[in-house]
Amino acid sequence: MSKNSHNDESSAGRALSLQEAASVLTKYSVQQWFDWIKNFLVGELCDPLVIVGDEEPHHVLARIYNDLNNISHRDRLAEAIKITFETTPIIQQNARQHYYLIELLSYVKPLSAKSLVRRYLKERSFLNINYGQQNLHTMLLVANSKYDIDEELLDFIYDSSQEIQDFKYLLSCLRLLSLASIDEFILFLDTLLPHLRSNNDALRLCRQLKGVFYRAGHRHFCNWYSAKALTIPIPTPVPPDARDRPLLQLPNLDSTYQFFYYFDHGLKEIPFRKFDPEHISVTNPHYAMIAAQVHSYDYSFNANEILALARLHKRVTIPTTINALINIWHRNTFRTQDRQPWWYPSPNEQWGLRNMARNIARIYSGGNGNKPAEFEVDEEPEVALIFEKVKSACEVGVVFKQADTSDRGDKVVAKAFVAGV
Amino acid sequence: MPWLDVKTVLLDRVIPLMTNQGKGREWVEVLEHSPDGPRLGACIAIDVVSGSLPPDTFASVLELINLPIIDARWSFADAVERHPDNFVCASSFTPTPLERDDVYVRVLELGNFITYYAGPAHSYSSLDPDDIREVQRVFFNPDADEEWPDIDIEWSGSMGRIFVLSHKELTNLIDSITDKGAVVNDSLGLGKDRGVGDDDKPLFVKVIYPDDFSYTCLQPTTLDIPWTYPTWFYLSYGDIDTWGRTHSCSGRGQNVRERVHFRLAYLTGSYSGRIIGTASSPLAADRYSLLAEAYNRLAAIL
Repeated sequence: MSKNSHNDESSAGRALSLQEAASVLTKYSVQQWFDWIKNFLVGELCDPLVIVGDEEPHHVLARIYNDLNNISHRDRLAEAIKITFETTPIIQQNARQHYYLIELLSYVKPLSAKSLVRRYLKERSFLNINYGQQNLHTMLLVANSKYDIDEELLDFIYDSSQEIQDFKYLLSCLRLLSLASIDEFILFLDTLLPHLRSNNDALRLCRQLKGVFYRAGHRHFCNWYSAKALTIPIPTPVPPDARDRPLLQLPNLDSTYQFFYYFDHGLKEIPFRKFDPEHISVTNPHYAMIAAQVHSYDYSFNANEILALARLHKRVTIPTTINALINIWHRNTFRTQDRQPWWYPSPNEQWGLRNMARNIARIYSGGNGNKPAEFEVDEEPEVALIFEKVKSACEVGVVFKQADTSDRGDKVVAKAFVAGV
Repeated sequence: MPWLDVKTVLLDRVIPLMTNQGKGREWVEVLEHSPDGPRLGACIAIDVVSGSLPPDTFASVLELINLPIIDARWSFADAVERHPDNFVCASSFTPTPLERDDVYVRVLELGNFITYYAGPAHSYSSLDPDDIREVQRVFFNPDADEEWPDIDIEWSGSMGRIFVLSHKELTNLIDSITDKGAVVNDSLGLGKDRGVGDDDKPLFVKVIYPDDFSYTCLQPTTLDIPWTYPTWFYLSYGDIDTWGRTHSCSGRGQNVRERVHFRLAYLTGSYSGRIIGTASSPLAADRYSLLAEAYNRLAAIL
C-alpha cells in the first residue's frame, strides 16, 4: 500500500497531534478559543481537528494548554475556558460540558474565574447536576479549593456539611479541611463519624486518611483516636462459636456505635493494614500505636509486645499510651471470654512469687504466648506508671484471678485487672 | 486494491439495505477521503463479513447521516449518537469463558484511572498535579497489588463500555520487560504520547477484576469505538475465538486478545490494582501499518 493512498495522514483536513494543534491554536484570540472549545467539548466538527483517541476531551485540552509556549497564550485559553463556563446554562442537559469545564478550571485556575466558581458554589447552583458518576457541586467545591482555602470557604464547608448529608460530599469537605489545618480535620472527623452508614463509607473515609497521614503525619490522629475509642463501648464477650467471625458480624455490637466499628474495620483494611507486632519498637510509634489498637480485636498480644507498646510513650506521650493500652485491653478481652489476655500485677502485689525483686515488674500474657516480660521499675518508672493507670482504669470491682504457674510448681494469686464490660 | 474490497463490502452488503441508497453511496465516497475514514470502513466491513454485526445495523445508522457529508467518519459518529438503539457490546458472538485461574484486567493511564475510578469514588481531579500525586500514593502500593474494597463505583467514559483483557496474557506480555509502560502502550494499541506521569509521560496502571466477576465480556465491534474524533488503533477482528485483537501502535508489537463489557453502575467484589509503569520510550506509531493490517484482516475472511 502506498503511504499516500489515503489522506488519513495527508495534510488536507487531517487530524493534528496535540503539539501541532498547539502551534496552530497559539494565534487564537479568546473569542476564537471560545468558539473552538464549545464545539470541541460536545464533539462537533472542529477546525483544526486534533487527535483525541480514547482520551476524554478535557485531558486533550489540558495537554494543548501545556503545549502553548508562553503564558499569554495560556492565559487566553484559560480565559476562554472561564467564559465558556460562564456562558453555558446550568442545566442537566449541559452537565457533560460543565463536567469538563470544572475539571479544566481546577487545573488552569484563571484568576478571573475565582469569584465565579465561589458564587456558583455558594448558590449551590450545581447541587442537583450529575455527570460521570460525580455530583458537579462536589466537583465545584474541589475546584474552589484549588484557589486559597480561606475563612469564607471554611465557613461554607461547615455550613453546607450541615445541610448536604451525602457522604461523598462530606468526605470531600474532610479532605479540604485537612489541607487547611490538621485541627480543622480532627474537628470535622469527630462530626463526620456518626454519618458512617456502611462498611463502604468507612473504607472510603479510610482511603482519604492515607492522604491525610501523608501530609500531617499520624501524631494528631493517634492522640485523638486513642481518646475517642475510650468512649465507645466494647461489644460484650463473644460466644465461643462466634469468635472467628469478623468484628462487624459479631452479635451484640452496640448499634449506636456501629459507625465506630465500621471505622475500625476500615482503618485496619486500608491505612493500617500493615502491622508487625514483633517489630513495634522500630515502627513509626504513632502508626504502631494506632495499628495495635485497630488490630487488637482479633490479635492477642503477648507480654513482650504489650511492653513494647508501653515503651512507645517516649514518643507517643504517657496519656495517649495509657488510653491506647486500655483500648487494647478491652479489645483483647472481649474475645477471650473467661481468661485474661494479659495482666500486670505490681511488684508489691506479686507476693506469691518467690525470688521476685521488688523493682522487677512483670507483664503476664494470657493470650498469645505464655512467657512473661520483665522490666526494671527503677529504670522505667513511666512504664510502671502506665501499667498501674491502665490497671486501675480497667478494673471493675476487685477480681482475683488464679494463674497456675505450673512450670514453677506453685500457685500464684495475682491481682488481675478485668475488663470493664 | 484493499480499499476496493472495503468499498465492495459496503456497497454490496450494507448500502442496499438502506432506504436512501444514494446517501449511502455518497457517504462511502467521502469516507475514503475523511480522516481515519478508511479504517472505519475496514472495521465495518470486517464486522459485516465475520457476522459480528448484521449489515442492517450499519444500514440503520447510515440512514441517519445528515447531508452534506463533510467528514464521513464524524457523520457516522454523529448518526450513531442520534440512533435510538445502543450498539455498545453488540457482538453476535457468544463468548467462551476465561480460564479458571484467570481474571479480566483493565489497563489505563493514571489520569484516566482518576477520571473513571478515583474521581467518582473520591472527587479527585484528574488534572491537578497534587491530586494526581495523592491518588498515586493512596491507591497504589509500589510492592504489591493494592486491594480497593472502597471502590464500588466507576465511570466508563462517555461510550459506556470498558475494554478488558486476560490478566494472564498481560502478565506474560510484560513480565520480563523493563519498560513495561512502553510495551502496554504499544501492544494494547493505547498509543498515548502524553499522560500524568513524570515529564508528562503516560503512566499506566492495571485494574484487576475480582475472581467472581460475572458480567458478560464480548468481542468488540466498530460500534464500541467513538468515531467522533480521529481515533487511535482499534481494528475489528474476525470470527476466530470470540476475542478481539489489539493492533500495536508500532505495528511491531504483540497483538493481545481484548473484549468489552457494559458499564457497571456499582462494582461488587473486591477490585485491586497496581502501577504498571511509565512509558519511558517514545511511541513510534505507524498508522500505515494499522490500515494495512485492517485490510489484511478483511482479506483473511473474504
